[in-house]
Amino acid sequence: MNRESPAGPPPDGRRPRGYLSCEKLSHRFANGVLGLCDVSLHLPFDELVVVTGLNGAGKSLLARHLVGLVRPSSGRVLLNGIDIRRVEGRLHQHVGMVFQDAEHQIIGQTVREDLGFGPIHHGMPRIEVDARVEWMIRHIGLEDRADADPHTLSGGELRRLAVAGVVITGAQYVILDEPFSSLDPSGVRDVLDVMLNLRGQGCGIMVITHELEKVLAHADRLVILHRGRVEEDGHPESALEQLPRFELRRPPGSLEDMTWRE
Amino acid sequence: MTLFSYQAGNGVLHTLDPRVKLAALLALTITVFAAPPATATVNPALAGPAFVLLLGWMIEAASTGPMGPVRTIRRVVPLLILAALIVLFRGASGIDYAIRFLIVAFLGDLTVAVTSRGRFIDAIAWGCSRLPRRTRAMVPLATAVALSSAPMLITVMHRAREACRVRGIRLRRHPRLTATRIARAALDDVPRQIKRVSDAIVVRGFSLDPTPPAFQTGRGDAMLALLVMLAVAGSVWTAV
Ligand SMILES: Nc1ncnc2c1ncn2[C@@H]1O[C@H](COP(=O)(O)OP(=O)(O)O)[C@@H](O)[C@H]1O
Ligand SMILES: [Mg+2]
Repeated sequence: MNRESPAGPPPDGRRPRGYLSCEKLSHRFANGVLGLCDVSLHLPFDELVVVTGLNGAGKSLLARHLVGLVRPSSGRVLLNGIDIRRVEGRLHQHVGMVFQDAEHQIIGQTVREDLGFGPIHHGMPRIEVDARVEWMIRHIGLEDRADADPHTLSGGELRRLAVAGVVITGAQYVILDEPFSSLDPSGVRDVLDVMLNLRGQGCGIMVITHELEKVLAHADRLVILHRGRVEEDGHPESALEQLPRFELRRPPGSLEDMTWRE
Repeated sequence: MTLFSYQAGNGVLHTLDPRVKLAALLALTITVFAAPPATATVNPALAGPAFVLLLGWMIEAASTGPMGPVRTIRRVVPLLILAALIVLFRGASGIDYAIRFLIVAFLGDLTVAVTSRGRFIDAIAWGCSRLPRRTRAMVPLATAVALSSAPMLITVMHRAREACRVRGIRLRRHPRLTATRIARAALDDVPRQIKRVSDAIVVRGFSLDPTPPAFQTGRGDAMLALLVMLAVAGSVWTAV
């Protein structure tokens, strides 16, 4: 697996920490509505960033920009300082995304086949693909559902499969759009576990959510998006206090308690 | 209508090489349609194999699929309706057409039931492997998008019907209205579904140079090829 950044190693030979960034990113819809306005963010591949905001603030739109699914009206998205339009295919080897509706990103007809999609498209030899898929099936605890139709999985299982399908390719940065929505507590814990595991392996994560009490304790940064603008971007402790300014609720209690992990 | 859906399993038919299965389907389809038309009675060369195929298909579908025999038979109903329509519009000669149509439909369904979408696409990718780079990648991709959009459409239709129901629109009392709503919902959703599938494929790392598919052709495939050749030869022989 290629873990080198497209820019190549820096001159002093240290292994670089990759990063994703956007500069003055704006998005205007066909009807004139401004979906994003001058968004600038720096997202190193070793941070867990939580992005929050009201419904319609532009969180999903931002995520779609970061993985190159939409073209900005102005501004640009950079992978290690290079415009993503110039790294095209390689972008998705480094940056993965789990959609808000995870079922929309399931491609395979069985769990096993779905997990294989990414590695096959990264040109991995079939033997290695198979080995990786088997390992991943065990890792996410779907051994007895390996040949099941993904659409028959429970919400939590489906979410785990969607995340696994992204990280199996060795992505260094994963964007999760509303990963906790409509999950029961054990589903939330499962997703949290997968997420924090990834983080332990040195993977950067962006979590888009308004359920801060479930994850914020693990975050390095909290970004508040409001009407398409980044209104706050800083340490969770300080950013928390800004939430009421944007009609968002500050979860009660202290920052350390804001996790659903046991 | 859940006709033509894959039934995951590890049966003999499942493990056959998808290329052989597709080639067999193609050869048999051509044979069935090229057979000379029956005049007064039904062509026995067609009716015999048709009956055997029907039976084999039923047994295979009922035993490999998660649905019981009753639901399996229910899946055939739309086909029978189509066949009846053919007979209705074409008179006596329609029976002959209808039988051919049913045989091909059964063969197609059987193939689909035991070949996963991924294996289908593998076979197509293999077929395209000598084409120029872009075409080689795009044909299987387009097939994948089309194949994965189709079942979603059925889900959308189903949801639209449920939405009508929970809003108190009686299906029985306003069949026209309901049908229009459902059809519109499904049609409106086509571009969105295709967009979603292609977004997913892009984000999940689509590339122009994926790992070439792996096939393990075995004795079963040789048997199938032989059977198909015999069937084709037999049909040619009866025709002459
Ligand atoms: N095609 C479109 N035309 C106009 N406005 C749109 C379109 N698609 C989305 N929007 C608007 O863009 C905004 C951002 O949406 P989204 O990113 O989904 O918000 P969220 O923060 O809830 O994920 C919303 O206010 C939505 O109404
Ligand atoms: Mg959203």
